[in-house]
Amino acid sequence: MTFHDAAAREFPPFSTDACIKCNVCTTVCPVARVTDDFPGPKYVGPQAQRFRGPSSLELVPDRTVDLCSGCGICTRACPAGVLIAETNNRARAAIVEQRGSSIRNRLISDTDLLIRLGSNPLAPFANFGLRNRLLRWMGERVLGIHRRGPLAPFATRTFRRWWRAERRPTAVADVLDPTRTVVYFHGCAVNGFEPDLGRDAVSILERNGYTVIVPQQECCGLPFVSNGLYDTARRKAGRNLASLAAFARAGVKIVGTSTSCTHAIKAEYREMLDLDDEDARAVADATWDICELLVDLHDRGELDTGFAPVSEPLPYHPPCQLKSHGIGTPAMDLFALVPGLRAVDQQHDCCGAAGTYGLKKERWQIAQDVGAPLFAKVRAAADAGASRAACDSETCRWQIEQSSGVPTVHPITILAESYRRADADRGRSWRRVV
Amino acid sequence: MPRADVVVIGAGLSGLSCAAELAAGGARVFLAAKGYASTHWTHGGTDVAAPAGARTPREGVATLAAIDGHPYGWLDGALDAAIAAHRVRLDTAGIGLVGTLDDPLVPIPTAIGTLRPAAILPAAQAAALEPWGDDGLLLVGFGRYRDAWASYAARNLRASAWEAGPGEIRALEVDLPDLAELHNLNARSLALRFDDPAWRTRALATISARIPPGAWRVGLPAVLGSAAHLAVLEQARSTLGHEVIELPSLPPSVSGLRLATALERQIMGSGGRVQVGFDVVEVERDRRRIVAIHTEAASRTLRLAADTFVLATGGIGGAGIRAHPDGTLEERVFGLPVEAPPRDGWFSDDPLVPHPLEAAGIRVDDLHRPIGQDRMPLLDNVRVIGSALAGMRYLAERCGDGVALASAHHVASSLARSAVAA
Amino acid sequence: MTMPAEVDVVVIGGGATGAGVLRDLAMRGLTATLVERGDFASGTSGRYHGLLHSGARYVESDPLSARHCIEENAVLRRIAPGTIEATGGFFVATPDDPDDYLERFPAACATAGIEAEPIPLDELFRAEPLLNRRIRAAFRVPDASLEPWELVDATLASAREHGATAYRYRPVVGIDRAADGSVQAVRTRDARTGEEATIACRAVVSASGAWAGQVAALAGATLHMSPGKGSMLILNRRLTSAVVNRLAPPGDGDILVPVHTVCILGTTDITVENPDDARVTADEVTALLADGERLVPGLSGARVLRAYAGSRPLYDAAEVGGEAHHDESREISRAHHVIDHGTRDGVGGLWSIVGGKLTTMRLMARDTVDAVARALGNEQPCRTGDEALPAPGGSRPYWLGDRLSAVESAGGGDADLVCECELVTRARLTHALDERSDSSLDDLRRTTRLGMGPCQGAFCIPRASAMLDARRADGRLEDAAPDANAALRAFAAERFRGTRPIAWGDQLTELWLSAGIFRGTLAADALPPSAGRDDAAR
Repeated sequence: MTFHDAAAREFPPFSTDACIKCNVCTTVCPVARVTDDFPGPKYVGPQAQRFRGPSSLELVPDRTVDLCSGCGICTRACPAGVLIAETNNRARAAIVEQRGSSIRNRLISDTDLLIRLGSNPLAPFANFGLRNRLLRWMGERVLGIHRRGPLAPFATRTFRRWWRAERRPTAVADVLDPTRTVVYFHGCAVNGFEPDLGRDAVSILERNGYTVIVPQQECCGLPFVSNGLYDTARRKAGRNLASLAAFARAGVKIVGTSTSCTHAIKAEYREMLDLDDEDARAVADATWDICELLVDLHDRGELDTGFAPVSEPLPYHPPCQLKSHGIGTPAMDLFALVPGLRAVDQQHDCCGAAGTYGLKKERWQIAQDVGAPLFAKVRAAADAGASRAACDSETCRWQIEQSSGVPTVHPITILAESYRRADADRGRSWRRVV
Repeated sequence: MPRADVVVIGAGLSGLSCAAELAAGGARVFLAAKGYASTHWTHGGTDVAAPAGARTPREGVATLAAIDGHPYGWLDGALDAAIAAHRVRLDTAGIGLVGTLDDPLVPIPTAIGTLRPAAILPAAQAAALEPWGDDGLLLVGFGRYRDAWASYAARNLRASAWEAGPGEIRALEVDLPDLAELHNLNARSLALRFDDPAWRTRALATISARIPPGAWRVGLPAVLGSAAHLAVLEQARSTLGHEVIELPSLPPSVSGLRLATALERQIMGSGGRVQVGFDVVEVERDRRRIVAIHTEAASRTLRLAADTFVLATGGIGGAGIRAHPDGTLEERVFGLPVEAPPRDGWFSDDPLVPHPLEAAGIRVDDLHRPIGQDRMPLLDNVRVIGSALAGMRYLAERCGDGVALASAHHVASSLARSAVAA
Repeated sequence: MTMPAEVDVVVIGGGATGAGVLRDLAMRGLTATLVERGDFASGTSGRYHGLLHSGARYVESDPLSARHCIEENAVLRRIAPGTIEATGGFFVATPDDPDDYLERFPAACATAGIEAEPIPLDELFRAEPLLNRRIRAAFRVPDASLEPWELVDATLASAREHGATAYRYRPVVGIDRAADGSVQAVRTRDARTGEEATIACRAVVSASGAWAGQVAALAGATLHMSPGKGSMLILNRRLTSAVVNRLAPPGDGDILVPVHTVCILGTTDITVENPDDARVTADEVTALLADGERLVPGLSGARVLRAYAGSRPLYDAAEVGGEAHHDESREISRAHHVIDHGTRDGVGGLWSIVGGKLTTMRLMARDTVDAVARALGNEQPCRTGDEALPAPGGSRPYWLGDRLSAVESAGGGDADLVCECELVTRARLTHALDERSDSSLDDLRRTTRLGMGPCQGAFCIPRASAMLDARRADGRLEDAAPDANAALRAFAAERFRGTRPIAWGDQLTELWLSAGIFRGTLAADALPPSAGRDDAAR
């Protein structure tokens, strides 16, 4: 790669050239907000980068960069366009390459493995383990997974297993009209923990005229990226791209309910993992967040807007990963279509979870402190009558729910509920896909 | 993305103010910015006009309005309403705004111990505007804060010709609790500490115990709280038993941060949308109208269609205008022509005096549409505001905030009028 | 500081050569003092590209210089490892470089005793991912990056340990001669207080490089220097980990030297009348960037922090005629010349040392002191190559990550970063001020890298000025030390001089941010001429 190529592609470490040291990033970093141990994005980002050589063969001199949660708020705030969080992640990957990674970090990244172990008819046992204080205490001592780290209970049947049992479409051959077909990238959360969300997503897409295909897929790889384990992430990404590329090239959109997974596919495959071939570009261009897609349908007058009233206040937290999409806050646009729904953007930077960050024994308190004002706001909203909160990313949802005590759902859950009520009101049987 | 009435590009003082006013008036507003900028860098006061010889901002405005091509040439009429609207927004946010266009420009102390002229300031800095009488100025530095230089500032102020200044100027270095072993404290990290009621009670008590007897106004680093600023300010006054004056220093500017946060909240509170972090990468144009802009996104782009586009991207400092090695200047969103001196005449020899390049910017008509050499509008539905405007020297004339606010209000109110008319 | 009234030898010029001469004189037991018109290493030594030459650059054009370089390269690594980063170096043949040069290069290196190992291209690109992929051939040579200020500092420290003294900001205003024409005293004036002093001496060594003609004239001798202005650009980051040279006869824009956090792209060569002419023209900037593109495609889009120029001490030896010197080179050369103005001009006891490279500073000093010592009846051998310089010059080689690694964990006030770009802590700056309490901010920059990063002082200048002022208030500054306000203004102006030729893009935005801080928030343009005192009542 030449400097020119790298700069044109915004290879993150080179974007640091644009830093004018103005400290805007310093004012927005949620981690630096709560701990003095993290020197802040300017310091570990563009500033430290000048002390790391251009060659990946050189030793990374610093460690505090590992405290970066990767929320990406600094990158967005930067007036000079420096890819700060991305640079930090590269530095972390170099540290991992040089000094190795912990078993803990490998384990919590490997959601595919965890789901294979936990999401099956024996899930109640696994879930008992997740709830059992003694076992969680042991998990903290032995593995370094904080005993109160937000973990969702496993489903007894994975989304994929349900899909196969229903004999629903999985192959390119199932594409009849590419403009009316979407691929659903369910992600690990839906597959192993929240299959109902997947079913809601499918029913909404079908209601709006799409045939939904769920092809072969695995974890998007983001947890591995976040933990600096690029090699594994690249393998997972490569297999996903291999499976999804045919659809993308056929003009089929790829839709996800996890703003984390979809962001990984849209951006991180190229920016972080250097997967920048035609397949990767085609898949990235075809990938949509589900709310983004529905808003797009609405813009074109094609969205079924027959939403029944959901008369409640709804505290909403747009997660960092969603904000990194650069698509605005499409859930807010959709909430505005639901009569009676009073959704309020909580205007808080970050819930703290940041994927696996908030699970780690040594990071848990930071993650809690980062999210504390949000939890308080959500609790206040609940005191004022809200029965639940909404958020687009799974780990953020779990963090908010666990730390605020207020049930927290995906925006899709609310939309599906509104559609179902509308059907019930009209006496029609728009059956929830079960 | 649902169509907006107005897309404002840029999140500096002008863009935020314009969007806030439009949103409050019921317009569907989308503010799209590449990042935050000038508000986080500056002193947080409201510099309207302070050219040499001006006794009040209004006099300064009149002087500047007489300069050919200066935005005050046509914006002076919008200033009163703009400042009034700004005052309402700042009062609502608990920041406050003291002083008017007709109040005297008085020398106020800076963090390094110079004097700069000001008349309109946030509440936390406003005690510097009052006549000093017999009051002394006590400058307080915090042992671990790198950017408060109380002793140096006091020595400089004593060496300066400060007419009708304080009776006495003293400095005090105070070590605040719990900070000794921390790393590289900056204004924001201290402001967050002051937000914590328990810590600030101890901190203020520590300062209070060191204040010598006498009638003082206490100059403190501009770190008196962020979200809890108003409470911090009040507690500081009551605990110290003296008026306090925040002295802004190096970025990050907490004063500016408060301002930006407040305006952003007001925009969103009025139903406006704010997206920070994505540059404009594409423009859809139909002859002299902009149909939509596209901002960069993780993949594809975000298409933002609107009736009107307000360009508030700033000048060279805010990177709305970018200079190239060959000496050409580029307006980065619409490629508008930039009026500027020739390359070899950009700079003065001394970095501390005005540079001719500072007046570079976009020429507009009285509706703030960008114009070409023939003075005809180049784009009918684009309005240019803030420091992207040509013909002003915001540092030398200390007019940046006034031009930002006046141009924002001028454009917002004229758009509101035309919306009503339509 | 009281200067000595009488010494054996006065050395004029506090660059690397002068420092080396002083050390050598002192180690041979001669009493010596050095006077420098500005700060030490503020002339050519401090304004070069930072390369410890392997000599491979000169194997064709100047074999003698090449041999000197490789020998001294080894010596400096031995005696001053702490001033060196062992980056290694590459010579690379770009498509624009001549085939015949590439063919002759290995043999020429072998003849000069320089190890030039051919490197497979995939290995090159792994180590240097940004280099032009059209490079056809590469050789590894023992180039390195050399910190000139540390080297001069450590050399002077060694000289002091051996009893010598050195004074900065002491321009020479006259050289007194006896009736027989030989030198007998040097008159200096303190540039800051105006105080004059005369130092009686038996000999004078002019190590004033490009300014040697002016110094010789003070003694009534004539010496025609041909100062070669060399302009360089400082890029914000390292684009390469090793020194990279083009495999071609020396030319403009043919070398990238990683130095600490930055890399230097050099160097133009323009003969100028006045060695103080350090203006970098727009044409030079354009030419350097265009040439740099051949090494690193896209380089001209990289962030340039500054442009600066140094004056090569070039001297056309052919002009001298039959002077007695062991050096046989008679073309205008990078090799050095010891000129005995006694035999040449009838000014006994005056020697000028001209030409040469920073890399060969010790050898230049040896040759000079050999001649001077012999004339003064001193038979001591040169030992400068045997004894290591005091730390930090004598400690282990540094690496790029040193500072980042060092400031990672410590908290507290001493660890506070005054200069964030270059990670200059309060402790480091305090130490530098303890060492030389009369320092200006620019002087502090040379030993600490204060203000040398992307913001070019926007944040550290007021912080450091306040530190200077606090020291003065505490009575810990010499009277000669600049006032904090004067220091602030001077350093801001000095930083601006280097930024101005390359003020576009990000660096112009940076300049505007800096202007906003200095003129907007701080109103530094309204600073009183000098800061007040604590006892001054209002």
